[in-house]
Amino acid sequence: MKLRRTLVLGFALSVLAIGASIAAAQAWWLSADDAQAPTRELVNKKLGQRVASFPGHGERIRGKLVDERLLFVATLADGSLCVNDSNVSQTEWGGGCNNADSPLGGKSFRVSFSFDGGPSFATVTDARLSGLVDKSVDKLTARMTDGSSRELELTSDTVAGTPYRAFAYRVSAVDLLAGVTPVAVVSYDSSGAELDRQATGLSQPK
Amino acid sequence: MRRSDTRSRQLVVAAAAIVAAGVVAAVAHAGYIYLPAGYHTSADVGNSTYSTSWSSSTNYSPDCCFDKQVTLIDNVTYGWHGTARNTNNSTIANWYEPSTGKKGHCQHFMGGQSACSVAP
Repeated sequence: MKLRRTLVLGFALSVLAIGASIAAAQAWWLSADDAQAPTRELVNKKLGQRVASFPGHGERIRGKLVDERLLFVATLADGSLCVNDSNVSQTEWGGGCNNADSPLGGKSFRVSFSFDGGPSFATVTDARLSGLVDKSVDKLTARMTDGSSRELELTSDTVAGTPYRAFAYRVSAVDLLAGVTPVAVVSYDSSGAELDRQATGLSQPK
Repeated sequence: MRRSDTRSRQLVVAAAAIVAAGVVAAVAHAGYIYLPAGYHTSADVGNSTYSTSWSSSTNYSPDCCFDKQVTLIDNVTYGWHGTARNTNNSTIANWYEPSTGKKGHCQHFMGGQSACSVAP
């Protein structure tokens, strides 16, 4: 009889413990659900409006054909502004979203660095910079690991109903194979004065 | 007495199995957080389990301008797919390839609040 009581009590406690675990896990699942909400909305919107493209090299880099990719901008229901670069079939894409109150993070531009392959740069088959600039920016450049610069072409007009212009830059095959990669992006105003600088996180220029 | 004990044990095992199956099914359907929400320091990384279900990995931060990265890593070549590194609130990587096992992977290059998740 005592053993039976113990077993029943053990069962009841197990059910309570399992229930508590489920409740705790459910909170995380809801958090995961919240974290993935922008992605779901972006997929439903087909990533938003196409605003620029990364022309394909028409050649293979480290065995992979470098195809055309597209840059999309979308405004979500909560006002978040999203910039994502994608292959044409939208089966591989990345970038992200920013809160409506500070889409450029208080700077004159915001850049996202995307790449395929890796993680070692010796195995990267494609590397891209993309993002948005505000009206104060006249020129945007990428500082490269060899100390040289590449000008990043801006769209001629604002994009997707935003007050921002966009840019989509693909590291050339020559640069990529030579290990010359962007280390920072720098914005300038019309007088040539530097406005802002954002590091890509790669190694510092020589 | 002994038969009753056996039934009780069977009941416990059956309940646990049902709950475990439910948890596994729910995670597979909805995704999960693989790096819990909280303050993460520079060089903190997170990795999800491998699954053919995952197609999206997100590194979310409520804070502005926190340098971080997210990607999906396949379990054949261990190559990275859809990799994005930026200071966005939501840094997102997507790779829809249902025939390949993959895991979400996130990395931090500055300290800040964030959580990393994967989803189908």
